[in-house]
Formats: sequence, structure tokens, C-alpha cells
Amino acid sequence: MQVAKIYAKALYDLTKKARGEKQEKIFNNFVNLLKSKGHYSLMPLIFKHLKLLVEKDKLDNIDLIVAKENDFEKYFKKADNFKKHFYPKKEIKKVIDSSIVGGFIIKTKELMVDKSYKRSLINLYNNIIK
Amino acid sequence: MNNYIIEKIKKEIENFSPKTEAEKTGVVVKVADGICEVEGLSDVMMSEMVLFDNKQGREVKEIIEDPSTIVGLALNLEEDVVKVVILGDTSKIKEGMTAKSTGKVLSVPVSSMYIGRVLDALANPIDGLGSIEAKQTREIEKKAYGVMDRSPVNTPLHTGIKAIDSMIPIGRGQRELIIGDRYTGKTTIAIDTILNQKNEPEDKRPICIYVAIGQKESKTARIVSDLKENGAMDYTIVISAPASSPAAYQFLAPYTGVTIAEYFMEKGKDVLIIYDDLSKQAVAYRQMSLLLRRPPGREAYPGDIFYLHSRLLERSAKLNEKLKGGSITALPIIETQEGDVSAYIPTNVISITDGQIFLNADLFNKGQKPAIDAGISVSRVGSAAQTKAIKKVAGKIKLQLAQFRELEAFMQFAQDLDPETKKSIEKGRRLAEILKQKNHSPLGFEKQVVSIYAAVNGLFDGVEVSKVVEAEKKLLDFVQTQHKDILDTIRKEKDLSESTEQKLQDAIKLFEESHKDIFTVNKKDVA
Repeated sequence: MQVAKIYAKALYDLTKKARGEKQEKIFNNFVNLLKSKGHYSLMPLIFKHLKLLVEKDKLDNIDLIVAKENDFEKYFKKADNFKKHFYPKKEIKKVIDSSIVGGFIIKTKELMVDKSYKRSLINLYNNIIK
Repeated sequence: MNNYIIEKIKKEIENFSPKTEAEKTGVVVKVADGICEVEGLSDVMMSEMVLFDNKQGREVKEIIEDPSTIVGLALNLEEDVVKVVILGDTSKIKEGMTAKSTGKVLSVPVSSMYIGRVLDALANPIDGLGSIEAKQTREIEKKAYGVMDRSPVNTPLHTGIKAIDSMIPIGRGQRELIIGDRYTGKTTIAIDTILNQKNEPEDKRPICIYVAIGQKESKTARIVSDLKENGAMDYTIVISAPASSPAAYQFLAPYTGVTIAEYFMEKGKDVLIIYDDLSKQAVAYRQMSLLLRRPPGREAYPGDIFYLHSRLLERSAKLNEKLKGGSITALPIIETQEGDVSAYIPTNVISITDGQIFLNADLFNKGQKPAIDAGISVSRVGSAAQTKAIKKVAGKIKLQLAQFRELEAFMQFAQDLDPETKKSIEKGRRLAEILKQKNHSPLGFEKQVVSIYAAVNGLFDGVEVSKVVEAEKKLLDFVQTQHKDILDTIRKEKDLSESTEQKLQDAIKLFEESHKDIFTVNKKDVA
């Protein structure tokens, strides 16, 4: 199981940057490598892990969470600056969440910038009742 | 409407300036059995507190009505994920939830307001008497004080239990293990020690902390009730991580206890902390480690099980005068199975502590309570931490008792015994009777001196074995009512001077003369 995962990760890293003929060449070499090592039977499992990696990467966008549709354009520039600074290769995805009341949240898997009205209101409330 | 509140709100709004920061976060990818796997959290530290964002998708009003947050402890930093132990309601953690790094190692609030309160493993009050505003927090994982910061243990901690104070004396700053099978009186010894601190003058009285780990809530409730009834809650803190709480709470509770104890110790106070019991903490830690997929070792315990207890118990110390001279005395409790003190966890803790009080189930069943096996119980600090008065009278008692136990076993096989052996057995029986004590009846050390002095010097040799306890009570009442000055002198001087000893001998003679009905046995058959 662990071996299949490692193979999948290696193949994914190589094919992510490659295109067209180069991708085909990498894949052929990969199959030959598996056959030479006697690991060809792991192919179904390797593809299963590869599929998971591709799906995970798709989810790994920059989420720009806003309270309503109009706010997306209003705060897009901030998200764009964030993207240029931290994650130049990722895409910005629009998420509408009315519970944040207003403002915006920029969220990735590892970083979050929360400038929502919801957070400000809750912090204000907590400061008042202290 | 209250103008004060309006003005306060206005002020908060004017001064409100939320910071813009990129917070380090992760995403929960798996939750099971109190452990969750988080992807992200790239800069998280070991034992760092992680905050789960349970505000996602909830309205502001809902959050204000239920402001509870869920905290986790990052314990496994792996290649792809961080495994976090959830310290709260696991059912509220969902896949996809955001986990935020706090940048702080797990800390608990500390305050002198905790005295008299019952807390949970994260030092939150659970006794329904309101919250506590603690101005200070301390990390629960802290390095123990070094050699040069300590001073020798030389001040006694009186348990009020004759068998312990005379033969296995405990000093302030010592770690003395209480070990025995289930239902042998381990908790009773611990609670009686707490109750006895009421006999200490207020300025010298140690603050007591009772940590209940994996216990039944009914038992903890009964203990709290007993402490309240006897006025002991005025100087005691109870920390409860019951059997129904998550394993993480049972793992953390002792560390929370010692963190609060250190707060008082660093102010120059003496603290007594009881861990009841560390066997359950070890089991909880084993459960957590197996769920974290750490490799199991002997008896499926993780490889660092010794370190779990050693780093906890090493934090008990007696500090030197430069650091204000405070101390933490620890009474850890370990439960054995069928008297097996050579099992893994008991041997670990025995090697860490400065002695052990071994409770024997056979003695308990025979009616010897407290069922202390003086033969294998030891205090490595010994008489260095014993009041001079007790040291003077209790010198021979351990040896005499040990001889008696040997002869008692021998007696089962031999029918005709020589007169000397018979006398030793009779004497030993009376000593064993003197060392019996009811639970929740701790005895001040001055009364212990009188009782043991009388026993060692043959007063009870003329009393039937079954009437020795009654005779002792009458003697103490007699001295308390008619010769109170003897008790006061011993209490004040903490010694049995020649003049006081003479007065005591005279008092004992008077007692013998006025209570001739008790003395029905020929002393020559005993002494």
C-alpha cells in the first residue's frame, strides 16, 4: 500500500510539469520500470492514489469567501495580491457564505486571512463582556 | 438603559482596530477515536495548542450564544499530516474544518482563587460555583528544577497515621508512592493525610491538591463531600478527570495539578499533591499512543512510558531559600494486580520515587487497617524528615513489628513455643493493635508520641489484645483532659525533653492506677 502511494506520488510530480509527448514518454518509462521491478500488479492501486492526488490538488485553491455576490469583485484585488505573494500558481475560487455578514476571508490549506465582519463583531463582543 | 454599558460599548468601538494577519491553518481530513488528522499546519510545534474553527457556517448570534471553543494538542508531526488529540467534544469536529495554530504550548490558568474548587483537567471549574478570572497561565510541560535550586528534605509532612509517621516518615519535598491492590485503603491514606493538615498551624499548612484520574465520579463526589465536612476544602483543590472523560484529559490531569502546585511553590508555599492514580494515567497514555500509531512496547505501553511519570514526579521538589523555600510533596498512587510489585508500571514508579508505602490485601482482610506492610515499605528520606519527638519513641517499633510478623508466620506451624517467643508475639500483637487507626481519624503528632511511647514502654502489656484500641483511646482522652500541658509542650518544642518525658511517665502511672479495670493480663507474660 505504501509502495503504491510512493509510486503514485513520484509519477504525479513528474507528469504535473510535463505536457504532450514528454508526458507519454514518462508514462511509458514508468510502466517499464514497474515491469522490471516486478511491481506491475500494483498498477490499479497506483492509479487509485494518483486519482486522489489529482483531486486533492484541484481542491487546493485559494478560496475567497464573501458574504454576497457583489463583494467578490470588490475584494478580488486583495485576494490577487495574496496569491502573487504566497501562491502564484494557484487559482482563486469564489465562495459565498452569508454567515460572515460582510468583509472577506482568504483561505488556503495552510494560511488564512480573516477580515470578515463576523470575526470583528465576535471580537468586539468578547472585549465588551470581559 | 445603563449608561455605563453604553459608554463602554462606545469606547470599545472607537478603540477597536482588528489586526490583519495571515494565520497558519490546516484542514481536518480524518477524525476518529478522539484523534484527528490535519493537513497543513506546516509550522506547528510539538505539544502546541491547536484551535478548531467551529464558527464556520454559523451565524453571529449562534456563536455568541454558544461561544465554546474546541482545543487540540498536536502530538504527532508526520510527513503529510499532523495528528491532533482533541481536548473536547469530538462529535463537533468535522472533516474539512479549519484548524488554527495558536503558537503556544498547552497552558492552563493558575490562581490562588482555585483553592476550595473542583476543576477539570484544563483547570476549568466544574463545581458550579462560577468561573475564575485567572491573570496568569503556565505551560503544563515544564522542566523540573535543577540540583542547585533544591535543598535537602528536612521538614516533616505529618500524615496523622501512626504507622506512617513512626516507621515510614515523609518529608516536605519528597515523593512517596502508595502502592497496593484494589480496595486496600490507598485513597484513604491520601485523604487522611489531607485531613491531618488541619492540625498544622495555618502559616505552615500545605496547600493540598487531589488529582483524581480515571476514577468513578461518585467516588470523587464522596471525597469532595468528606473534605468539605471536615473543613479541608478550605486549603484543597480537587482536579477531576473521571473515567468517562477522554483519555487525553486523564493523561493531562496530573500535569495540570503539578503546574498549579508549582505556582504556589514558587511563592514559598508548601504543597501536597496526590495523584490517584498513575496506573490509570499510564493506561490512558497507552490508549492515546496506540491511536496515534506510535510503536507499542512491553505490555503495549509506548516506549516513553517511564518518561511520562519521571518528568511528572521530578517536578516535586524542595526549593532553596533563594527561591523562597517552597516545596511540593507528591503522593502518587499505583494499583497493583494481585500484589505484583514487580510488574512494569509499579517497578517504573518505585524506581522514581523516594520510597513506597505498600498496602497488603491479606493484612487488610485480617482487619489490620491501615494495611501497611512495614517490612517492604520504606522512606528513603527517613528520620531526616521526622519530628525529634517521634524519632525518640518510634526507634524500635519497626524492628519489633518485623520480628513479630516473622514469628506470627512461624506460629502457624509450631504448637509449643518457648516463653521468649511467646512474649515477643504478645508484645507484637499489641503493637499491631496500636498501629490500627480508623479512616478519617488522623492523629496529631503529639498524640502519636504519647500513644507510641506508652506502647513501646509496656503500658498496654497488661491489656487484652482486643481491648488495646479502647485503652489507647482512654489514655489519650485522659492526657488531653488532665495533662494537656504535656501535649502542648510536645507540639511546641517538637521534642520529648527529659522533663516532658518524666511528666508523661507520671501521667501514665496515674492512668494505670485510675483505670485498673482495663489491665487484666499479667504483664510478665508479655514483657
